[in-house]
Amino acid sequence: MLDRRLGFRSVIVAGVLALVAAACGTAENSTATEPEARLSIVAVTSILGSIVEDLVGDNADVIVLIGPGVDPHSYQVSARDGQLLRDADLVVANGPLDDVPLEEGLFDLLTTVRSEGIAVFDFVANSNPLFFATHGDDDDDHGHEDDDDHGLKDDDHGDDDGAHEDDDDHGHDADAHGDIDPHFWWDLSRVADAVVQLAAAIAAVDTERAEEFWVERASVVAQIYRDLDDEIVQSVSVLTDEQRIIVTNHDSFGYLADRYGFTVRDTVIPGYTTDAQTNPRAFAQLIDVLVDEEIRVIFAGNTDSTRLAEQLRTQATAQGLDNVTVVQLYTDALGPAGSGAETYVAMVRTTVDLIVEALG
Amino acid sequence: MEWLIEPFSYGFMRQALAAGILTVVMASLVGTWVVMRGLTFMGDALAHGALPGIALAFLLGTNLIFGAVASALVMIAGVSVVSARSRLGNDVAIGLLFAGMLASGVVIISLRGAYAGDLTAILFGDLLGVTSADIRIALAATLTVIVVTFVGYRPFLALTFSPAKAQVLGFRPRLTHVAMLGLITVVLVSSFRTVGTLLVFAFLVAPPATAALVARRVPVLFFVSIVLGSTAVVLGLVISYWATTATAATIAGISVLGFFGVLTTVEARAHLATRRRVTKEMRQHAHATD
Repeated sequence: MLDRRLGFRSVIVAGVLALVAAACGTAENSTATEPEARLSIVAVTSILGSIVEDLVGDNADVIVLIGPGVDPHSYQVSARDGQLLRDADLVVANGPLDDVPLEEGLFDLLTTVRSEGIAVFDFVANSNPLFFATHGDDDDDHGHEDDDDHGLKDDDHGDDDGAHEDDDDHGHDADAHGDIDPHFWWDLSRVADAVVQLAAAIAAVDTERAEEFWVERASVVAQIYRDLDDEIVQSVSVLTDEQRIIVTNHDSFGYLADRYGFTVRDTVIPGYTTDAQTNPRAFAQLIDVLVDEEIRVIFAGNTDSTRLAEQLRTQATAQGLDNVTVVQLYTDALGPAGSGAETYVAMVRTTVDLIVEALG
Repeated sequence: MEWLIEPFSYGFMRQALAAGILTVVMASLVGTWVVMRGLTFMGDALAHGALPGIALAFLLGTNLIFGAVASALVMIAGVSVVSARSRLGNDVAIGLLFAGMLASGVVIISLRGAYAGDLTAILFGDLLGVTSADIRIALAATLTVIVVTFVGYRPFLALTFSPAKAQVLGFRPRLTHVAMLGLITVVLVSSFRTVGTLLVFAFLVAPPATAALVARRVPVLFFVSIVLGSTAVVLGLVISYWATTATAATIAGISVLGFFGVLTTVEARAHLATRRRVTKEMRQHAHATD
């Protein structure tokens, strides 16, 4: 009996020692003479991921945290996300944190990762952002963009070396207006400009290629986006001013409106994120707006529930407005395969086409 | 009366009212038994126990109601097994399954990469989005509950007030108990899309509990409960309209406030009655000793 017990115990001890040895071994190996792996860039959303892919092509690995069709507003991080962010050479986020209501679930993790020295590129800060109007007592004024872009010309954007929190600047402007509108990707000219900064950020962490390489890539991609920008201006030109009225599920088209001359008349969900709860009075007023102003198209996004948009349609119809439709668009994330919105460029084209078709 | 009329001049508010009242009727009938028999914790657990089924059904693209029912059945079976096979009490079994089911629901939702929005929708429902299809489902469920309550009235009554007698009278207590749990499930499952599981639970508990403060006989409890619940729905809808608050939560809050309001009144009246009686006795005593 004594022998058996000793035998059992030694097996356990040996096993544990073996595991420890293996763990130590691999840890050492990974920091030793292994050659530099490919550049690894983690993009927080599928849209950012596509933009980064346009820029880097085959020259880096791009990992996306929040996949196609998933709502970034209500995304909650997992342990795996933490690991991915820490292993990245560069993180591309919407950010900066407190003032940008998009990837709220990632706030804490991104803050931690920044403070640990991981390079993070904030797209919104580098896109001359717009602000949401502050929602005071004005019940009728849902989700209108504040068009005097005070912008945010950051002096030290691009060369990200980790913890640069421009919180003071943003905080000041945010108080004056309301939160920053994070849906920058609807203004192609802004994205074209920001891509140049993004390339600089990648160059800063790329130890293999020269900076000129990334400058060159950036100008190629920026040109593609500027061409698309012109294309959109063209296709939108068929719409009259009266036709350019947009009602959406949540407030994601501020930049589209600003750049291409639309008016976002109202939104189903008040406020900027999909988490907000609609209240009955606001909803009732929205029905009245639709009926009174004869707005027949309700645009729904691809990351939130269309239940209320459908209800809006039913109610407007019941009150006498004919031919009201809910048009499904791709707004806050890429679409699945076959949707026509698998990449950023495709998403923009498809959505703009749908909008022009619906409003024309 | 403008404050009352304007909100309900909109179709979606009238639909919310209809869904709310139907849920109140169902929940009052079932909730009276829940409160009388101390099944409240089980009711809450079922409200959360439906979550993984709904989440899984959503993930797989199948009917959410089937998912909710399946999930509730697992919950009931699980509680039964745990309390039968271990020395732990019923409440421990319920607590365990509650935690486990809720956690599984969250994990399943997180697999899809989203989380908070979906969970909110299931817990709080979408009263403003009630369609006529939703109302038809609620109506069917309410009729079912009414019929089963009527048919099962005496077994339910016996099980509630004297389980031993129920056995003797041949009312098959175990089956009756399962039928009751089944009714709770029907109420939950038919209402979670409209009012959400948390509000359904509030309706199962608050109006019957309030009614129990002022009545004893079960039919009276049914009636008072329905009146109280309906009042909460109307008030809640009107208040949430004018104060721009979240609708389902406002209604739930009013139901519970109603309970405390009635409790205070009942206690105050009892207190006053005692004082009057004591004062009267003292006066009589004083007289007698004159």
